[in-house]
Amino acid sequence: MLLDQTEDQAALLSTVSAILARASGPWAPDGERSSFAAELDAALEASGVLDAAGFDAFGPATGVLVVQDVCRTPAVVEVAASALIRPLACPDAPRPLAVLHGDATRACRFLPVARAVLFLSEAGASWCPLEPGDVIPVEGYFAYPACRLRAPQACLARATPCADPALAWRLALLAVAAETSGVLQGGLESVVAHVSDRRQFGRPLGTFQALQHRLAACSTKIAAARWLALKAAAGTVSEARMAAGYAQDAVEAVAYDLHQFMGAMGLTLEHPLHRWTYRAKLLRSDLGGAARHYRDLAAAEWP
Amino acid sequence: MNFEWTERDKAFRAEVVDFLARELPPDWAAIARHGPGSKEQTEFSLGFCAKLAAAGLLVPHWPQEHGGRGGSVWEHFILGEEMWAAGEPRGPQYMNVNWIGPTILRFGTPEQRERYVPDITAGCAIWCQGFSEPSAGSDLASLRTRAERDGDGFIINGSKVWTSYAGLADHCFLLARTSGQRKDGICIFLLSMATPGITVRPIPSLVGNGDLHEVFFQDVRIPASAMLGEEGKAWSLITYALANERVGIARYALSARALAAMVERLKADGSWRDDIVRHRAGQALAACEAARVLVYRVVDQRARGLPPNAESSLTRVAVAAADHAVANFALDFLPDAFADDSIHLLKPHHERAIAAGIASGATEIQLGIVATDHLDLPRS
Ligand SMILES: Cc1cc2nc3c(=O)[nH]c(=O)nc-3n(C[C@H](O)[C@H](O)[C@H](O)COP(=O)(O)OP(=O)(O)OC[C@H]3O[C@@H](n4cnc5c(N)ncnc54)[C@H](O)[C@@H]3O)c2cc1C
Repeated sequence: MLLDQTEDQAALLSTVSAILARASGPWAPDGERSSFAAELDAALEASGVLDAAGFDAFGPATGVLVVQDVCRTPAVVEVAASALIRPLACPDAPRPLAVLHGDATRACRFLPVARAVLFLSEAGASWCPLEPGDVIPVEGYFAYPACRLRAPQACLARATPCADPALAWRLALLAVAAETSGVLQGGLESVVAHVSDRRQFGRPLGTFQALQHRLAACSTKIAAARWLALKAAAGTVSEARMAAGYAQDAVEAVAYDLHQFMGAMGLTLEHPLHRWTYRAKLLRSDLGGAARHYRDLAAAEWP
Repeated sequence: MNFEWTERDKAFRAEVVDFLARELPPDWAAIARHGPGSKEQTEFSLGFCAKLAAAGLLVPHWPQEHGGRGGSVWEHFILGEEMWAAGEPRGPQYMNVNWIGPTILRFGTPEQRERYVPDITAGCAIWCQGFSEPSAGSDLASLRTRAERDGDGFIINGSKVWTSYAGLADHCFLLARTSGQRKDGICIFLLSMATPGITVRPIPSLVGNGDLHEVFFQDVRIPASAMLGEEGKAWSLITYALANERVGIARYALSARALAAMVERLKADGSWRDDIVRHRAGQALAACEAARVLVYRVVDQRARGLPPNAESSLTRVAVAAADHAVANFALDFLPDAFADDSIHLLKPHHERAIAAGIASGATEIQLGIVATDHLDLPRS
């Protein structure tokens, strides 16, 4: 057991930090509910950091670290599927990669910018490249860009099955866990900065114990979600379910508190809070949501 | 980053598990039912810890010259995890091996070591911890028990409360004040509970009879040699002593064990087919594993020699949450099992779960530490 980052991991993450630092300008809130940081997304792809999980020296735990770091920023990019699922389960699929679970007629995040879609169902996993005309825009209510497939059955018909669908599922659960924990951490950091700065009643809001304790409780849940995802990276599908379920379960309390403590400012499109909380709100139900993952975890743990 | 146990760790865990399978008697369930702080379990610990000592498993993490094997931080932790999962058959003696013994070894005089350490390593010493007072709970620095100089000794006057194991303890690790205010002027005294002037009164409680006590000190005369460390400088010493305790006991190990026993019952009675029951079981299991992974994170930092930090407080919040998730699962789906006492460790788990967020530093104290020292929120 050694829970420190390896030197290789630390070096890779410093590359990620440098890319994020260079790209920080264009994330300024633009008054839109949903957004996509295309330049940052392209820079991450070009740097190769999204492929790390596929190399033995790195593996999925490194992918989790990359996803968590990128998702802490308010920039919406397609990182979880690309850094965790694609390198190991469908390396030939182009990216950005949208993940469509269950009913293929549903609206799906990242479809407007995706060059491929991964279909996940109880029956298996397959992927299909996309052309711009393959999608119909829908309102991006949850901070992510979203679309529907114009002809879902045709896409499914031309999809390539993943060689190891169980692996695709495990990694998809891991991707949800990593993305959710990263997004919640980013939102927490933003709110901690706000309440440390904003004064009411003659003192910073962050000195009130009511806020301190709830933010500390949020931070505990987020830390646990982060570490459950890291532990699940090299683990079983049950561990991935546990990590996804735990992170999704945390969203309710954390997203509530983050909005509470940001006050009215957090409801504006001038402040980036929604870029974290609305991503988290959509992630809650991903792949079936916490209740389903917990149920499946229990059923597998105690057959 | 790797979450794999080394072969040595695995072998050590197997050794502990084998020992427990071999040495826990058939009536262990009946003893454990009273809880780790109970009179029954304290008495049981005397024979059991002697056997642990003989097997080299009482203080494996201590240096060899003091009866240990020089084991790793992880081995110390694996031992605690397996013991707590079994219901803590070491009873009060877990304190001896975790912090009382190590503190005496580090700060004690040669006479103090000679006097106290052999019984600890033999598994036959019962200590109690005299810290909390009626007006000094979370705010321990407000303690008022006095130690007045009197010739070549001290006279102790005051009272302690919630003192676990005091009814059967041979010795007390006592905090008393010789002077000063708050953190200044506090001293540690190692004294025999048989010293004239000490009165112990049990407090009937929800956590197993014989656990909580009041201890009164009336003109208790002790020699100056009973003082551990420097006069008035106990605060930093306690901080050192309890640094190892900060992550707390491996409570999630018992929670997970109790949860598994509950699931067996639910399977037998057919309720396990219910999706709601399985959802809640998975949620409780995830809470236990969340606590476990955060504890491992803190142990890993300790194993790497990093200084203690507020992550241990964060971890304790998760550990208490896991206890409560499992306790509430039992209340929701197995209330009858409390009446017929038919699930091993159900009651002791439930009772310790209530205490988890209070004993050795309330959850709210931990949340405060996380807020200021981990999140860096401004102090009021
Ligand atoms: C089972 C059990 C065994 C124990 N064994 C021992 C023992 O062997 N030796 C010993 O010395 N002590 C022992 N204790 C005592 C334990 O250390 C104290 O209970 C603990 O420190 C809390 O003190 P208190 O109970 O006086 O609660 P208080 O200090 O009165 O606090 C009550 C509650 O108020 C809240 N609170 C307190 N301070 C703050 C704050 N600053 N901010 C926000 N909220 C706050 C918390 O919710 C806390 O639980 C034991 C306790 C239990 C439950």
